[in-house]
Amino acid sequence: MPPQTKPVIRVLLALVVIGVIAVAAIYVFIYNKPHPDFEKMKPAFSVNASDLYQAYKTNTAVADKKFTGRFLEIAGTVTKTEVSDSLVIMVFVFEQGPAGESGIRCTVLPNYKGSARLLSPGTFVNIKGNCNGYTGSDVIMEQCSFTR
Amino acid sequence: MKSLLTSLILVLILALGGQAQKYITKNGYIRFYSDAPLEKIEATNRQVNAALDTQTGDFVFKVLMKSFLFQNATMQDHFNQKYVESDKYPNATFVGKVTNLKEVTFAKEGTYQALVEGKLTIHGVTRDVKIPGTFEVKNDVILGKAVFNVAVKDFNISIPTDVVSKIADTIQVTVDVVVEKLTK
Repeated sequence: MPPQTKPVIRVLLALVVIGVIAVAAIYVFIYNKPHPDFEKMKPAFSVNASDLYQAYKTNTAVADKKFTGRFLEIAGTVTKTEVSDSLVIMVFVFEQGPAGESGIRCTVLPNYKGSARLLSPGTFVNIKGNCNGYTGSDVIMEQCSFTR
Repeated sequence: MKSLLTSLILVLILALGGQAQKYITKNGYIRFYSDAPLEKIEATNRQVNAALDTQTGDFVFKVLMKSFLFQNATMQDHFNQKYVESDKYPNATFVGKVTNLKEVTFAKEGTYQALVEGKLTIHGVTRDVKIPGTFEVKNDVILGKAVFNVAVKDFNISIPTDVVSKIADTIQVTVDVVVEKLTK
């Protein structure tokens, strides 16, 4: 093998290794990125639960721009906690209508299911979570946990 | 406007006169599943609003697209931002009717084959659909189940070419709702 070939092979091998590492990094950190740690996430801002519900009910389009897709903290009095299959949902009821209750429904993170189930109706809470929008009767929040 | 329309339909259905039996849930389950050559993708939503009028057979459901949860965060972001554009079209809705109502006895426990026909709206596009399924009447609740396929192109959902081998042209949708009598 001519003497100038060995360094060329080494450079090519190095480039292949770098390429493989780059592809693996893209797969792990970009394509296959995990969900954020919602327990540790800081809310973008705080809002009173009743104000959040009224904002969506009054003008959904404006409320969507302000709140939907944001990680929020809300403060308010829990009406009840529902358990449905594997879900624990804290419910803030603000209205009763022909289609049932309306308010805010917060699905709780797994680590908080136990404490959410123990909440007495009428307890004042501060919770944070992702605001997913308004169904026409309820504001839906997911990945909820207690902040205080 | 469509959100308002669906809410109005929901309220109208549920405000029908005294003989009507109204059943609702806010924890209905919808799953969709894509089986493509390079990847299998699944997402679930457990905050589906559904309502059934057992006298008229009217059946509606409404679901927030952002409440579909994927195992993979990148896929969830792409789903919301690029495929269904959930900021523009936040909800998917179905407004329809049980068309073989005479064959479904909601007053008697049992499992009944049902055909539900109506309008399915996803990504701002509405299509007429016919969905076979079952209603099981048990212990004062009604369990509604259906599995059907949806072609993504029918709802103007475009899949980028770089992921087309990872997402199927036809998505399998599973609906599983347990509706309870609405008590005022």
